[in-house]
Amino acid sequence: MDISIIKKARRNIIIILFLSILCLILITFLPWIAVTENGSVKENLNFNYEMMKYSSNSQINDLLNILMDIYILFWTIVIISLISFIFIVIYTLKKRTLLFEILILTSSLVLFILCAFVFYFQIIFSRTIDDIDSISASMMYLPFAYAYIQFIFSIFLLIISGFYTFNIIKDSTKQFKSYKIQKKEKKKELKEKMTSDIPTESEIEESLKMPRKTDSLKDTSREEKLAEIDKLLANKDSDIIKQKADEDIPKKEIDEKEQAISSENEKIVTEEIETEDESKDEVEEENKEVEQIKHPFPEKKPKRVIEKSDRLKLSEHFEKVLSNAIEKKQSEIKPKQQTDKKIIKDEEETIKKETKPDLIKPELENDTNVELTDKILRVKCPECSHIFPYNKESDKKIICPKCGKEGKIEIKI
Amino acid sequence: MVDEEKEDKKEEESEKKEEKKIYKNKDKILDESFKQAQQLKTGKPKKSVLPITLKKPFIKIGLLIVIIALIGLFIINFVPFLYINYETEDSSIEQYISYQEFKYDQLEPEKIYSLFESTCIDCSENSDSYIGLTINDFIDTPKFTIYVFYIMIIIGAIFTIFMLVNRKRNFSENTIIIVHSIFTAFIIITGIIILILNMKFLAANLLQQLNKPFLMGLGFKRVQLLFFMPYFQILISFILFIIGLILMKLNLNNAVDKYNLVFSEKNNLRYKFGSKI
Repeated sequence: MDISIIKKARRNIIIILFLSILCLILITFLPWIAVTENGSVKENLNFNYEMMKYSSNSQINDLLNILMDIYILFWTIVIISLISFIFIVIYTLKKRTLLFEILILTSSLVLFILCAFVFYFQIIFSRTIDDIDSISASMMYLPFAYAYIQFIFSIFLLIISGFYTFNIIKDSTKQFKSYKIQKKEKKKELKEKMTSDIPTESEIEESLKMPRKTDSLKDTSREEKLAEIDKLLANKDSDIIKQKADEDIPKKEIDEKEQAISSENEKIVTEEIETEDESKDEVEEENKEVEQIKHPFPEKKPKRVIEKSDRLKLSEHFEKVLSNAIEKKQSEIKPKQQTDKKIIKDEEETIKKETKPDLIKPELENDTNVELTDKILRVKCPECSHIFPYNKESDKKIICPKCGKEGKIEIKI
Repeated sequence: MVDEEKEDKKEEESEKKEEKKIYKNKDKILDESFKQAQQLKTGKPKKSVLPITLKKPFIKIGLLIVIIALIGLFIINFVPFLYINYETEDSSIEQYISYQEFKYDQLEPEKIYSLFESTCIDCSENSDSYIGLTINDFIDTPKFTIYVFYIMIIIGAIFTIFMLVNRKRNFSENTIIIVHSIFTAFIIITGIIILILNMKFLAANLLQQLNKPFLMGLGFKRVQLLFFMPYFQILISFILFIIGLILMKLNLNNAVDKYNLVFSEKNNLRYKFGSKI
């Protein structure tokens, strides 16, 4: 719902509530009918809602029934307007959902229908008074009856409720349309996501078909096409196996680490060569794919079927190579980390001596930064992301030269 | 000689005092200049401001409603229900009648009954009461209004308890506004019930004027009726009704303001120097 519609609804609902309460008061307060008496006092006896209840006259009772209907309708209008007010508050504050929109829409429609019914019953009431000879509407001044006051207010109520419902219906139709469009877009996005990661068979077929239009090889047989599709699928299978192997690495890492440490270091060298070979193989495969797209129909080759045992072997081999590579890297990183820690500890000690124990150094990323951290550091302002030099020895507090934000150095090791 | 020595000593002392004064002045000037230099270097010295501690606002509308209900109950029990002043051919009566007298059927001049329920056979075939009131109305309406006031006390107490709990539990502003709006809806409904229950007494005054010939036909020369207690009840219900409408507007305004507000993520984050460069 738009904010302008909510503002309009807010205004309308308050007016509807006010008018409906006013009408309720007027029903109990105003004299509705006047009956000509032929007893000892020959005058018009005025009846209000309460007096009509005690009357024994059947015609007055008929009129009372209509008036009671109007009275009940006004009560329901008051209650529904209060409920819709709560719905609007909840909708604006928390749940901007389709359910609450439907609830507001239905409540507004019910309000309008009830107001229309009130209008209809009032017309019936005035008609029945006209039909009965002995009963007339009690008059304020001769052309103007007391009942007209309430009638005018009920017309106002009908108009405002009409505006209220019209605005909400207009907005809700827009919303429903937008919901549908959003749903479609979401579905499309999901489909795109699903399809973008792994190419479907139809896409592969299309990719094969595309160059056929341009190439001169138009009379190739169907078997050749199928063979090529199978090749591409086989490549895809090998990719999937690699992905699975990557997922399994963390589980087997710990066990294989222990084995690898105990095993000879010579193996690492040979396996390194293997990894290099593999990377070369990957590049070759990629080149092959490109060649396939360029020249989709080379010579016929027998179908290559990957069996389960082959897949397992491949995955085991791949895992071994990966684990060894990781270990080697870790062994290289360890001495570096030790040197870093030593430098950081020295710096901490110097800072502790010079300043309070709360102040600490900024984050260190590289060895080059360590050299800088002797006296001058680079600091990035979180407000304006301005990077500026900072003398560690001089200042405890830092003020950004660009935006003037004050701050302290945080401990991050 | 002694006098000369004394004078010399005095002069020496005075010189020393002057020197001390000069040193003091110099120190003062130095301190001031040093402070000024420091200020120029670091900026203006900040005044030590105590941290502002804001207490959560406690909405006292629940208490107000309870107080209004208690006042209403007090009015029912202690304010006279009816002031009646009438003149017949035989006598004239000026009397204040309370709710208790109606309740326990203690009305003394029986002529008063004929005001509300006429026993005149020739008067009218259509209705017995000419001002739209019966004796039952004088008994039932205060009874129902008492029940409504009890409900009001309960609602007000629940709301105040909720607000007290909110101080400790920190409900979100949205939930507070929703609870507030439900509370206002209850206030409006109770206000309308009280208003409609007591409106017939106000309408009786209008009918008293319109149906005056019929009252004269009963034998009354002059009739004056004032319903004190119902007037106060109507006043209370109007107050409730106005409070309800104002609260309703406030709640809707708050909701619309909240709808307009969009909190940035920056407000929820704390930044410190020394983050990743």
